[in-house]
Amino acid sequence: MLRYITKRVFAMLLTLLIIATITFFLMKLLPGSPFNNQEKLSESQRYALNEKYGLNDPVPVQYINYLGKLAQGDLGYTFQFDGRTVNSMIVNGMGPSATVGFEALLFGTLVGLVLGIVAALRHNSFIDYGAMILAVFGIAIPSFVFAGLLQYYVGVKLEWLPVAFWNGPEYHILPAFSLSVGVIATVARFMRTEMLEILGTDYILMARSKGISKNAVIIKHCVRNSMIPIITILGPMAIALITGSLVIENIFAIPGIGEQFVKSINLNDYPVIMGTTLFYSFLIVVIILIVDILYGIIDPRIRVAGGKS
Amino acid sequence: MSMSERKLTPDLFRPANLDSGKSEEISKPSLSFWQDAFRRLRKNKGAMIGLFAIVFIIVFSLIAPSLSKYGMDDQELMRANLPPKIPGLEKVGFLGVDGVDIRGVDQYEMKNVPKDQNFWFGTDTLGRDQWVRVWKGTQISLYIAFLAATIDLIVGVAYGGISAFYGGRLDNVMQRIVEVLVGIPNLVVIILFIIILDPGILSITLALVITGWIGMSRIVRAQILSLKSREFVLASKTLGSSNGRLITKHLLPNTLGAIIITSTFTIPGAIFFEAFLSFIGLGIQPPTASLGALISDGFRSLRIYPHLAIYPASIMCILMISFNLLGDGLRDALDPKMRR
Amino acid sequence: MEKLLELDNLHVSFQTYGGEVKAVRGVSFTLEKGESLAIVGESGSGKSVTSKSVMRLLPNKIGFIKEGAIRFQGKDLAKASEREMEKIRGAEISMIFQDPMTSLNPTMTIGKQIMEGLRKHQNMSKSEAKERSINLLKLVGIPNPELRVDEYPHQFSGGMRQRVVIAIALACNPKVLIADEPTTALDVTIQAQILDLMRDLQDKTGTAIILITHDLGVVANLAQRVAVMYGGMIVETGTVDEIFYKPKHPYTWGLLASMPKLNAESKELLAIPGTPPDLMNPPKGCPFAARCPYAMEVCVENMPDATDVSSTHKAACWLLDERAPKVEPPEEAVVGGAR
Repeated sequence: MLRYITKRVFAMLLTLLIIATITFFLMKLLPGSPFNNQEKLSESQRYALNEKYGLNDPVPVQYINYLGKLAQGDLGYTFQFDGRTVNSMIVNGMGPSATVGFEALLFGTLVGLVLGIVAALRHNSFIDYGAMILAVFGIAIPSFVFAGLLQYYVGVKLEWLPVAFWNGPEYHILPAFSLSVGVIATVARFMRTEMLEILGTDYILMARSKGISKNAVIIKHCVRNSMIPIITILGPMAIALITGSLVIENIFAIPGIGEQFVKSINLNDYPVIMGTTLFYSFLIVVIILIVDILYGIIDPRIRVAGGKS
Repeated sequence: MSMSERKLTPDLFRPANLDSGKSEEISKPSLSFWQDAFRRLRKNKGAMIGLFAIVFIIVFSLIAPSLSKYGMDDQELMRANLPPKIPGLEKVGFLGVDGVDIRGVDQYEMKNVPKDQNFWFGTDTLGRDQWVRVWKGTQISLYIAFLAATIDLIVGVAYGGISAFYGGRLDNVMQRIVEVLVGIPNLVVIILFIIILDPGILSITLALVITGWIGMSRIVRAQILSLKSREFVLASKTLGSSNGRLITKHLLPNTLGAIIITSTFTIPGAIFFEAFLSFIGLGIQPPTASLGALISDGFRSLRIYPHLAIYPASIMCILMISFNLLGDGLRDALDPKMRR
Repeated sequence: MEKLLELDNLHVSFQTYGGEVKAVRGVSFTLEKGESLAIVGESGSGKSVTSKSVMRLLPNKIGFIKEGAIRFQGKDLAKASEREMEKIRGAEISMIFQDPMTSLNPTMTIGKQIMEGLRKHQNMSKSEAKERSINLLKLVGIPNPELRVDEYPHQFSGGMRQRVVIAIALACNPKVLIADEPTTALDVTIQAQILDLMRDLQDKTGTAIILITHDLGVVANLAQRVAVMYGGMIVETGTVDEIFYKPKHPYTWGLLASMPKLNAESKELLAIPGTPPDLMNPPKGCPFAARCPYAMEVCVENMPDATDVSSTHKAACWLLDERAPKVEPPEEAVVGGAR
């Protein structure tokens, strides 16, 4: 297990190094530096500033310095505001982004699990068909389309909930719900298939032949075992949530990382684009690693096999 | 013995001439794998509705723009922001296609639009015919999606196939490369790629393909690896079949199901990502528009002119759902084991 | 001897898309205390369905008991409520399944899986149940039971897993143990060990066993009485000796003839031609008529009744009728040369 984790951490660092390298050389290819667009600066002032931030050094030296800074978690400066770091922007946006993402994940997983379990237990009933039709819709319809429609009908037309902004708990509902639709659908479908498969296994029959009540068998044997593989879709789901958050935050004007990121793209604020890209890469790579390790810990079949090797 | 004995006459106790082969007769005609799969697909209502909707939308996106006399970017500010109006359906109130906006003003009268001019999907902020733009946008979205799926298919099948078929060190090296690539989130790659290349149909397609083929290659590799060790392939090899014959007669036909299923799911994925890029400002640039770009523009004025977003959004939803339904149906028909 | 379990004219059907499959059509037998009865037949003969009906573990909504009674110590299980069944399953009647690889929950330690039944039926505390689990593992011959009790199924070999399954089944000292093809999925050498273990445990605990199998070798090893099933019905019952040495039903002859024998040097194994009857539209007469080399016209249209051959031996075949021609079993069906 330890060897496996070490190997995975190294692979993760390699991936991050590749992404960082690509981002660095892209930044060099693209026009503009933090100071070139400030016309008030004289040539000598600009030179002094470039000198201060090491922009006059040869590219390989800059690359090494860049990697050194990255290793310390320093993502550089934004073009948009004087002297503000990308780090501080990410830290500022982190709160709302993480809140919405977490609420969506929690709500989506819970509702999805219940829906999937009920659909499996009432296999081939109207509940089952209804849940699966909903799931296809949830998987197929992009969260931003859903968000737009919710915003229009619930926010604008019915005026039940605030249309946008981030001023209190009631502002969370629409964005978190829009984001969670995909989660609900994915989890529900996955859980249903998994449950149906396990309900048909011999060990469920064996458990029932011991005289344990049907509900106890379903909870202790079936639901428990069905939930283990759910961990494997947490990674792709986290990526989908991050992707969705870029647009959802924009639609609902939530001051999160995603909103800043989209704004930076439209303003050509390259350091923020690159910094946030790196941050997202880091986040995704770490989430996938954690999910894989978690799966190994929770599933005894893998846990022991991994422990022996 | 029971009362039935009385009815039995001794002559019944003679050996009967029964055809023992009769019990082994097979009553159903035998179907080839593809015939059987097609029969199963046809039975799947969702998949058939999906297939029908996809064909309908494709055909419509090709012919619909020519039903209007306006072009994709014919601007006329005099007729900007007209709500949809379809002659004949005006009286049907709930459809909202009577040319009256959300405040109850008949915009066609107010802007003095000639009586014979009707915009079925309304017009946008620059007075362009939304009907033409929506269907042209559908065309572009579909074009990008199909192009991306085709390139994914070619690259993925070639890479996965070569890797699995030749195996050994080549496979090892090729899989190490894939492992590193898989680690890089596709969201990041796509965004970076578009920033350097500037958004356009080709660059968006390339950005989608640059990460998309990996999934296909992994599925093809896994399929061929498992097929390679199956008895029928070994038997064919033992009988001296050439590599070419093995690939064309045994490996590819048996991988085809998985390839078709994967491609069917690639298309809605590509439509989604294209729309997503439009939303974050990296999509198709005006005056060209894709479904995603139209929805993204429409959302900006959703409160006043809902028709701008509703139509492209509905078409996109129908497309996405249809492709998913068709994909699910194909998966159930071609490879029930892949369910999940 | 005391009647423990009695099946009386049991009919079980499955509702499928194509129609009603009549899997069991009027099965009756009795099981006495401490005795072992083997139910033999090919796949699809209804033997597994019969055993699952006794446990009332037929697939929900699809499979159902249509007619007949399953009397266990005087109580009709066919009409028992789910709650009553829960008290009987595991405690009074328990079951072993065919494939030990799939009949244990892969994510639960075997100790917990044994303890489940104990805690439910015998109200044991956790530590008592664990102690009993260790004893049970010792009883079924698992080395180091103190350590292995906390291990997961995948850490056990196939034979060891079947021992665990037996331990689970015997945990609450049931009166009846239904073993559904308990050795089919195992290696031949392991098969013998498991059969020895089962016979051993039967001697120790006095549990009655219903052994379901298609393997006559297993029957000779373990059972005292045999019921031969075909097409959802019992075609012949008798003691092991009667079935092996004085078989009366042509299907039993076929089964015996298709069993490999050491002394038959060059003879091929005999197969029974044809396939089992379609239970969606079962034949009106004898289910075996279509494949029977001795079939008479009467067999096609009329269902034969069970005829007493001796006090313990019954067969349902028109050949036993006095009007039928005298037919001798084929040479291949004769076990050990005795006729």
